[in-house]
Amino acid sequence: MAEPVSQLQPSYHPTAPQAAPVVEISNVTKRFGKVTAVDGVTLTFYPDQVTALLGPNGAGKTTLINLMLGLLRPSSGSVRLFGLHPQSLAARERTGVMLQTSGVPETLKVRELIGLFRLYYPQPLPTAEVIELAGLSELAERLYGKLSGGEKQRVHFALAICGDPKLLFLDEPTASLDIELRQGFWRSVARFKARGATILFTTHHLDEADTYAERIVVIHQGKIRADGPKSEIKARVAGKRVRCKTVLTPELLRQEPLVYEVREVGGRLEILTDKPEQLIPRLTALDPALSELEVDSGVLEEVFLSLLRDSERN
Amino acid sequence: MTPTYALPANKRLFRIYLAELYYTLLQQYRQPLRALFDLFWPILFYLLFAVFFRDNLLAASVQGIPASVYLLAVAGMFGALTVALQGFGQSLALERARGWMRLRRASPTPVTAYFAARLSAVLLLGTALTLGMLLSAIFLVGLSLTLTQALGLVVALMVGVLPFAALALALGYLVAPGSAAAVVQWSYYLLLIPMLLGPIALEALPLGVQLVVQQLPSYNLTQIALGSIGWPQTELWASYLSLGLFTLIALALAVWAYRREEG
Repeated sequence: MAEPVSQLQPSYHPTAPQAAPVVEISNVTKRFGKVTAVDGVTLTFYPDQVTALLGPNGAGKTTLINLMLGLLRPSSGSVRLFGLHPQSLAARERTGVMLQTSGVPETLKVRELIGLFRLYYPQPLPTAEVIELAGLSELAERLYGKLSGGEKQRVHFALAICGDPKLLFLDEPTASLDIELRQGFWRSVARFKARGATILFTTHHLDEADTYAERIVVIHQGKIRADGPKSEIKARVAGKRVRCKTVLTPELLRQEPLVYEVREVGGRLEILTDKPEQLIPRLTALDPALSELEVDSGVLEEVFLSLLRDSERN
Repeated sequence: MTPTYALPANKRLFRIYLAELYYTLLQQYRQPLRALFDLFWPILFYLLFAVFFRDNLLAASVQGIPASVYLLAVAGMFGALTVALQGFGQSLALERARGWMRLRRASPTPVTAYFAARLSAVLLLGTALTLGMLLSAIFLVGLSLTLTQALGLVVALMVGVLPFAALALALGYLVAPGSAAAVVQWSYYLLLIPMLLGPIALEALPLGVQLVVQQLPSYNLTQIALGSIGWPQTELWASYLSLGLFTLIALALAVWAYRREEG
């Protein structure tokens, strides 16, 4: 069965632990009245990492991001960016931010917005390079208010990177985009990542976290439920997924001790297990006519759901 | 052009201030209907009465001041209020409601440069409005003012936008983002009361009401504007003091509200 959440490594350590941390969150709690949005969180982020911060709505992701940005003060604990207070000018000059809502003035052109924003930074990227990285070459002279949703997101990304930041926060950057625009956006991120920066993003699209993140942090009800390299989390928690066409029912299979979860998808069963090599002989014994058998490694969606279930159970 | 990073911090701050001022004015320019309301409406309001009732106003006087000149001073106060609250205040409230200020707070935007640029833009627009009103009065209405009166009125109204701009800043950050625009609007209506009442009607009201109205910045600005055109005043210094204190308190509140926790 799935490994208990409590046995997962609580705080990720990089392969190069001597690197100075970029973000240090030390036992941070944030309360809004009687509601505890973030509860005793300790996290450290190191240079040149891409981390996905996952969690359902209301889990505390945005609150945690806002604490790291200095937009909120913790009720207890401390947050440091590059060893500095998040509200310090020196920390903000090394940080780029893409928020869920940016409220960018509609009557300024793309080039003007980038030109203004890069003035805030001591060593910004050239405007032309920012426009190129963000894929805005054909939109530079257009008013922001005349852009589509996807184009506006690219402008937000441009504003986030124009200062050549060493730390980049992307808060649900592809929330309103279709799949083609999402892929285009992540290509822009990859081009920027090649310059060497720490990237922390939140997303509800688990496939994005699965594809682009090196490290996964899962937060639920204000607490960190998992934190580690993506491959480690997927391997240690979810195991494998077995797909097959069978007359066996989900209700029957859920009684099997090797089965963690079963669901019916497109006429086939998807079975979550951490011991497929023991389960498959059992399945074929129960249903000799079993067909279309496939086994793949843990999918992040299953990981995520299992972590949330464990969290709620505990 | 010297790269930004090569500039000393104070020069970089000044360049940011100039850029913020330029882009604030550019946004106004690109919203012609808005500019029409903020700048031309007070002038049109003045001309509506000053032109249609020109002969009556030129013939009449109030406390020894020609009624047309009195109307100009009051309309000028109305213009200062409109530019500061309806123009500057509403745009600030909307920027905050949409999240633009939040993004700025998360970035290394220098607060002083931003505030200074916005206040400078209001001052420039207030000056344009005042000069427009004065020139309209002289050339379209045929008003006759001494140089002292004209200069005094222009300076009073130019500077007069600052207390209202400071109020707009304070309201913009004290009130919840979604409500700020409405609060700014209601403040605008409240501050119009001294203009609507006028000194004659105000004296007819109970003393308690008079005292409340006399604390309003719009009342004190009207007194200063009237004083610049020769309106008999015994305690003009009190109006200057009240307006100055009001501006300082509003700015202090704005800075405090900006720095406090949001979200």
